[in-house]
Amino acid sequence: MKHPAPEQLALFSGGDLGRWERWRISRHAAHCPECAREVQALRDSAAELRQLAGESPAFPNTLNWNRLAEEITGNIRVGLAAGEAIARFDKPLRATQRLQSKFGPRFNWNLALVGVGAMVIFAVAFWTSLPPRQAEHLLGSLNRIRTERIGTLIHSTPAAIASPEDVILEASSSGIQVRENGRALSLIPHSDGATVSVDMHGSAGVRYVDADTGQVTTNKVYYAQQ
Amino acid sequence: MRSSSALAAFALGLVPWNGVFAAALPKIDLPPDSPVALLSADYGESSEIARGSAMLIDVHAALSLRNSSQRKIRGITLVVTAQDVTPGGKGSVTVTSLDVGPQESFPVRIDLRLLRPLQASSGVPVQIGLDGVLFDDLSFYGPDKLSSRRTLTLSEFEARRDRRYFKSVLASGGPEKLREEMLSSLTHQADRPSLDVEVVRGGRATNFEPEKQVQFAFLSMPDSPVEPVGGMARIAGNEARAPRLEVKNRSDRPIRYLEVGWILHDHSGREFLAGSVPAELNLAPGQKRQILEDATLRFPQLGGQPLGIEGMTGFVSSVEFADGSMWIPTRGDLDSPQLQRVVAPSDEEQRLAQIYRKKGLKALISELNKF
Repeated sequence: MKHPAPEQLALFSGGDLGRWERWRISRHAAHCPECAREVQALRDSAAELRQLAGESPAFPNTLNWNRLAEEITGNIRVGLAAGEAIARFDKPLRATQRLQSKFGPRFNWNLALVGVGAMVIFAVAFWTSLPPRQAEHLLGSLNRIRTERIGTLIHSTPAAIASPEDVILEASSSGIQVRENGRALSLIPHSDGATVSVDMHGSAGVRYVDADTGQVTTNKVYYAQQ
Repeated sequence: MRSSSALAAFALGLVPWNGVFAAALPKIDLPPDSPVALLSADYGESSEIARGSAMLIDVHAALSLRNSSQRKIRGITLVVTAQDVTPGGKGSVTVTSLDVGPQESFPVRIDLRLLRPLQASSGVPVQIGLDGVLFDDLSFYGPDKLSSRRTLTLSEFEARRDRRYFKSVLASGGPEKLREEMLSSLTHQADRPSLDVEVVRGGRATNFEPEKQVQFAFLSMPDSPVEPVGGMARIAGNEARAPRLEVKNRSDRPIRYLEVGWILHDHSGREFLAGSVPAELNLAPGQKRQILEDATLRFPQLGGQPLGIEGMTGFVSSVEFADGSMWIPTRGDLDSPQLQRVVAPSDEEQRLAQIYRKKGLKALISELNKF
């Protein structure tokens, strides 16, 4: 039995393969205990690392898919706007061409059908080769552009997702954390029953009465510019 | 091995300690004229473990500081930075409601965890410094880069207000009435809803849900020098972002800082204190001003259920005048049912309630009589 390459197994364990490759490797792993064990070990390590990183979406992935989604959205938006501008500029010329075609050679339906068929095949192949998370981002980006242009929502959200490069402050009764690019600094209360607070200027805090000393202690994290 | 000289040796990277390499131990840096001196630092259960491609460093520091000034210390803020780990962020540890006389010592406990890639540069990852010390005459020492003067002074004002209140309860109703008050406070602390929250810089969306603009309702506080006139924020699912408030100075003194508490209501009628909207401004008497904050609050989950935000209420929680004096709500203001449900008791009330819970009524009365 030919085993998939280790990097294929790693991508499979992280859900980073396209539909076809995913199906192929899952079929193999179902019948190959050795590869199934390897996939499970990779998943366990990834889960542990995510937990350590405070469920950071940036960790352990190094490629910034959110930024990529933003760029795709931006590029498509610019492309559409440019298309509209050219269409306006080109209108008189097209009208002339339409008049010419009315009396010129007949429209080639066979050629058009082949073209459309090729586009459909390309789109399906592209879509199935995309890992699910990236496909989700792309769908979200396209949906936002559709929303902006057609206007089905009263007000759409801006085309952005929290970037892994963002400094994120997190507060819960079990501690506070400042997280940045998969790295984190946490301050942990030395007691149960802590009170969480945040301010919109950029700080998150947790206050508790120290179990040993009885002192009221407040741990806070801030954006660095403060 | 607990003296500051030993600490310096560890900080220089000479000796490993309990499995933590000295390079991972904090460097403690107090100014030469600091009113507090480091007596000792114990890193008892600190550890450093490699996990996959990351390094997890747990630092448990029990510092012992001495008041080397001639005044009583009421509060202190230490700043914690880890430049290698989070260049965009920093932390602080503040201890309030202190009563430390000259030459007396007091503990400060810092429990922190660092996560960084294995290949990250070595060196001292954590530095601990002094941001400020507040004395009993409300004078202050320190660089105040984290606005510790304001935080510590507000906390001291609240402590004085609450001690005065509990003393008056004791004087008018006797020990039994004080006991009732403490039981009520402990119940309030236990019942108060709490939720996890994230703050992301910028008013950027982090989900794909449609957003709506929601107007603030405001709680009336007749004595407040600031009147919130109107406001709104953008809400999308479990996110609230970019609050915009309009406030009016109805006092006869200029104001330089104010803070508005922000209560959220979800679709099932639950209420939470989401956070506060602070503003440094220059607000002359009678003047109106808009406050804008470009940040997003995200509430991941609440009891396993997503939080669907439906409404918001704001209230003025503190004001600082240009002359440095401050206003905080009275106990009467805080007795409003809505604030009672969501606002946490002050630092001092929490401390007094813990004294009652752990040591009993006599110890509490004795503590109140110290002031």
